[in-house]
Amino acid sequence: MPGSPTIWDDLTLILPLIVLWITSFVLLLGDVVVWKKNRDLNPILAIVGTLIALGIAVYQTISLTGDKAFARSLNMDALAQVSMIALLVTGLLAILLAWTYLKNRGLERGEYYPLMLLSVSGAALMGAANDLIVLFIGLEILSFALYVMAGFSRSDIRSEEASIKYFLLGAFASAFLLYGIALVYGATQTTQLSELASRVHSAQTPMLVAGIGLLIVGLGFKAAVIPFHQWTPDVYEGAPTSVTAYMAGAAKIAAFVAMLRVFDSLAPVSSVWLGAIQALAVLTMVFGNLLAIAQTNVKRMLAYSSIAHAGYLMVAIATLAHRLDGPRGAQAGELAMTGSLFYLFAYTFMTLGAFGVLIYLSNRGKDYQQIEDLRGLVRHDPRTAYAMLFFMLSLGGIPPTMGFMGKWQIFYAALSGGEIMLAIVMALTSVMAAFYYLKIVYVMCFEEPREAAPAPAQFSFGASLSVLLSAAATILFGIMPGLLYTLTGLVR
Amino acid sequence: MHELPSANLVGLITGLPLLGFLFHAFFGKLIITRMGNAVGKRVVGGLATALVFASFGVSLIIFSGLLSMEGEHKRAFASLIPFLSKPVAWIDIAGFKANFGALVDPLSILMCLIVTGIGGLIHLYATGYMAADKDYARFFTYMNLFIFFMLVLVLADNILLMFVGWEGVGLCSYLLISFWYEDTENSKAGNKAFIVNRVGDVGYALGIMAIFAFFGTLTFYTADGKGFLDAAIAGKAANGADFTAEIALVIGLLLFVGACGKSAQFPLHVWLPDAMAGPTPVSALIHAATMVTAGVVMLTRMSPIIVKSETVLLVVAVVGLFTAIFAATIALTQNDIKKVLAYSTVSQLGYMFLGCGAGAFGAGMFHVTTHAFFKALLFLGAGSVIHALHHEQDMRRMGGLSKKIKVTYLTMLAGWVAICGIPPFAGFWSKDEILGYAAGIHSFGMLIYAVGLITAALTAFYMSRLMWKTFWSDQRFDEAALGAHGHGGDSHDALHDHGNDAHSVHDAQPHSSGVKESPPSMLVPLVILAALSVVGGFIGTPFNNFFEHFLEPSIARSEAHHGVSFLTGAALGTIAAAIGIALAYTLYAKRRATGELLTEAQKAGNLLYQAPANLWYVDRFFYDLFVIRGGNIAVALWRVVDQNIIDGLVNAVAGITGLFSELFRRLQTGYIRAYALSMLTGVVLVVIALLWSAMRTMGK
Amino acid sequence: MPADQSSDFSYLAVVVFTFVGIAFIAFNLLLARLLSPSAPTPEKLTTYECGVQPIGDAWRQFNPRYYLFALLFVVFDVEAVFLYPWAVAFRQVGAFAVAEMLIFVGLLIAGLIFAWRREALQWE
Repeated sequence: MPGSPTIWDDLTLILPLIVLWITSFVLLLGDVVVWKKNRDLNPILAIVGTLIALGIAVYQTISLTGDKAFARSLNMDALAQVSMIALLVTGLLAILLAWTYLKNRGLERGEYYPLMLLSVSGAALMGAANDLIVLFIGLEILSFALYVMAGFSRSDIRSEEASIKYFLLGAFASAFLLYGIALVYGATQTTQLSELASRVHSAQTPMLVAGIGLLIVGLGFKAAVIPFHQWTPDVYEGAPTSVTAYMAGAAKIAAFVAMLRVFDSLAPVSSVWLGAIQALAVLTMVFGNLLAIAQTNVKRMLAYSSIAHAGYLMVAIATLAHRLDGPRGAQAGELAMTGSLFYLFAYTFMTLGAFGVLIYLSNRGKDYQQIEDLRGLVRHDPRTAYAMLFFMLSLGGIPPTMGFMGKWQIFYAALSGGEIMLAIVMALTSVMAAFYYLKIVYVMCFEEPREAAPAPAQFSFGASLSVLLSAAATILFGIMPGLLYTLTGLVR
Repeated sequence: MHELPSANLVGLITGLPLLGFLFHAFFGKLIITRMGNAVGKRVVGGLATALVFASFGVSLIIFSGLLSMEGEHKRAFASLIPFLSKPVAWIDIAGFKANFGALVDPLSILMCLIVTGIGGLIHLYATGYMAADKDYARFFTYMNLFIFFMLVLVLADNILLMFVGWEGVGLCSYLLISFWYEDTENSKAGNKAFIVNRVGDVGYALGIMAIFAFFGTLTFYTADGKGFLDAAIAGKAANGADFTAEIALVIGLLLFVGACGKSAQFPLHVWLPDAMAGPTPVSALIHAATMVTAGVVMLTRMSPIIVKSETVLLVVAVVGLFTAIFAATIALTQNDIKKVLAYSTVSQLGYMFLGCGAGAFGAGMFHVTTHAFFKALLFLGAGSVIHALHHEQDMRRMGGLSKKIKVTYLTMLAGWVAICGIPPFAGFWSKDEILGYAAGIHSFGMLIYAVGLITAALTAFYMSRLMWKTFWSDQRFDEAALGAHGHGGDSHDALHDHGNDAHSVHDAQPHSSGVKESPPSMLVPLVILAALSVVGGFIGTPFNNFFEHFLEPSIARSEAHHGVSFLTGAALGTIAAAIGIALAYTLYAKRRATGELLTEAQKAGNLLYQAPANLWYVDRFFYDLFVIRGGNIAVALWRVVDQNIIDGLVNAVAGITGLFSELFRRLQTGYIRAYALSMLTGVVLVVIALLWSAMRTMGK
Repeated sequence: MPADQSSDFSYLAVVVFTFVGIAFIAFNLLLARLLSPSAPTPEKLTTYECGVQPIGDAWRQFNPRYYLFALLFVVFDVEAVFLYPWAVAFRQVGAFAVAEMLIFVGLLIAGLIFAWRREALQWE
């Protein structure tokens, strides 16, 4: 049939993913067969592959060539493409961080980068899924790679523990997700999200309702929503820092883009799930922030902070429920979509930046994990301290940083959609959040270092570049959010 | 002309200080190391000062342009980006639009003149005061950044951009208070300021939200009358609804909380006195002349909303009045010269709020202006005294300075007469204006007026006390010992002084000893400010009130009126000031040698002294409540919630379902079991909740 | 609910099948219990484990290499499951399917090469 999409058209649409897959296999085999000794070649090739994929993804996004693909099981629309760009950027920054980190730790085993690229592709599949089964497969590809990466430091018992914890609990959550998919299928006879949207309204059975509940659980686990959050601090703390950084960004993007897709399709039955999402959002915002205050370990603190940020994003999901309530609701829905994507970009930049600072500092031969370790950092490494200051301000949502802009957009969406209570909780908990981000600033800038200044961090290309890029993005998009909005605004 | 001439220059007002910030951030330290300490510092400080004065020059051009504008509004919309005349979009997201734009009107240009004019003078002063500081470049980097954010705050054409400036000045204030962070007390003071301000910011943020919810826009005014203040003046809210007093009440109170935080009104005043830990030029610029008045500026900007609700007006007036007298009593008992001035600032800010609360926003802004003159002067003068005495801040070890540092003394004298409210000096006109309007407040007017007068007398008393202890009483320090010992801090550790300005000027002339007058770079600003404190009030006399007439287009019309005639008010005000001064004179003239009214024993036994001397226990209360308790609560919560409740819940579930418990006990990993069970509990709860809510909706 | 009605019949078959299956096993076990003679000895009551005496607790550490072999086995087992229907329908699906299967097998071989070069296949 002329004009109908051929398999080649479908493959063209997922070209960035194919590039990632080819790169990862080249790396996997090249490392063990061809260049066994040249450790720097792995990250360089991974960066090249990611950059090519990124270039293609950006081109496809700009030229608006998105369409449904593979018998409507993938939806390569703007949401898929923009989230893919976010994931590729996350991957790029994470590869740079890993380059430094793995070298410092003597962990330069070749399978790291292929695993990471594959997990990026899994996350991108989640973002592009138009079918719950594809979503599930994407989630598994992402997760399995992350389980292995969390335990990458095989000699470190905490890393092992993190891996096994993450794996067992992740498997548990996947089971719920799969069961939820099965129930939704049972109620509507379809797993395609676009079909689902037209069928759910007439299929409001307890089976559908229970299915939706289990979908919330399965995706909520990946997104670290309270009460499915308990793995987060342990895994964040135990996993190698480069993995934590990557996981924080990529898993959050994937989980929330998938949630946006699923709950966008489920908007016709929003009365069923809105209450639960609201409750989870409040719980997550309040307790995520409260628990973060008591932490003394930076990685653990950032883990709770990641939970808190999941709470803010849940506000956007709740706003999506009003998508079908008249023109104002439709606008609020669009804002929730574009706002969440902006927020996810912001989150990935500032979180990878913060972890990047820790990695950069650990170049001194000492592991920087405790807040105490940062005491008086501004004295002996002012540039790094100021970068960290910026990330903390951004995470705390203080203008003029990107974190503020992201939060403002979700806030604005919530207000337009009539989620006043959630917006108020969001504002109040954001203030609470300032306390623990500020604690780091305080320790860094206003306390004397306890011991004599350690040897200055050796210059390491990867971590420096990654931190620099993150900081530049945090500031640039904080002052001129319009630049990024041209991208995230495509998602309507 | 209906257009503002040279509108494309407006961006330069903010652009120049920003340029200074960027330049110093990147090259400041480099210049000092490359060019050597003496020359490099002159270049860095000179450039920072010159840029602020240049910004002042541009403000003057815009000011004269504004005067030449015809029409009723005197309002122009410009860009904050230099050389663009039309504002560019800052955020433009699906129906929500905010410009990176400037609203040029009398209020904003007045504040620009104050911020850049006084700011420039204080920069000049600081080039001398900070001359020996090792972090010279960092200091001017922060100062220029502060000026930039403050100008963004006053020039912003929408409340969101104003919020950016608002947070920005907060950040700079935080960085500058803790500038000498080697001293833990300083960084704690910075932290306190930041945290207390966050409390105010919640109110501000919620206020912004409320404005958006009711009006659907955050822009103040637009050319076609679609801003929310346009709407408020027209009495219309969004979607055709009326702008009612209830809406004004909600928005007004929330914004007032924000204003209280930044402008140090009771009970959020606690941060300002501690903020004196920063270098003295910072105290003068940020914590006296400019940033702390941001709350008054914001309320004035919002006056079309505020005047709609009488409740809000009354709350503002009462809180302002209470703060004024409350802080004045504390100022009576302080011995640190900067602390006295700090509480005096809190008290004077209370006056400004009282003016706003009376509906006389013009009078409030007038006091902002004159206060900027004389309080900056007093702080800089105090800095000069501290400098002369090698970092002594305790007034108990001063005295007899009137002959030793003549220029400082004479300028301080001008500040003293101005703040006491002696006609015809600056403070008299503005204070009188505020009290006159306060007397006109519906039904409580005379009571408020009486309290205001008492406060004026207290003000005159504590300022005279300061002058006595510092300049007029006998010398109570050993001149030969000055400058001989090391850092100034060691001799008065016991006095809980936070602000040891020690680190800066101290090393400037390490070998000179004895009392010394400050260098010209510090004296010139003092003289200029003294002149302004003397004559500055004449721009707003009741006979020819140029000032309030000029501000009129920016301010909503209210029912404010004078409760007393000018002559009565002036007479009563002068009498109050005279009583305060005379009382101080009679009491302190007898105790010339010690400079103390009460002995230590009398102080200890006298509750009337102890209560204000202990800051009326407000600080301690907050410390107990939030710092000690709050910290414990956070830790306890973490323990309880994550370790006990969820674990406990899990164990309970496990106990009930013996099967699970048996199964999971065999898995010796312990924690995973708990996590998985808590997840399961969550799953059950979510599904049950969903089914329940679905059942309810389906039942309908 | 139209969706459910159309599938009533097929679900009924599943239910019937389930019950028949349970009944069949129960019936046979019951029959064996009734017909067989019961003469227990201690030897007969031990857990059957390859005929070897079990030593110690089952909850102890195992060498993870067992899992590696198990994993590799499962991978290639599943490969065979995919290969079989492909081989049967080979003529109908054409050249494209050949390419697809080559990629699939190629991926698995790549994994095998990786495991081999990493010396994962050597026992100590």
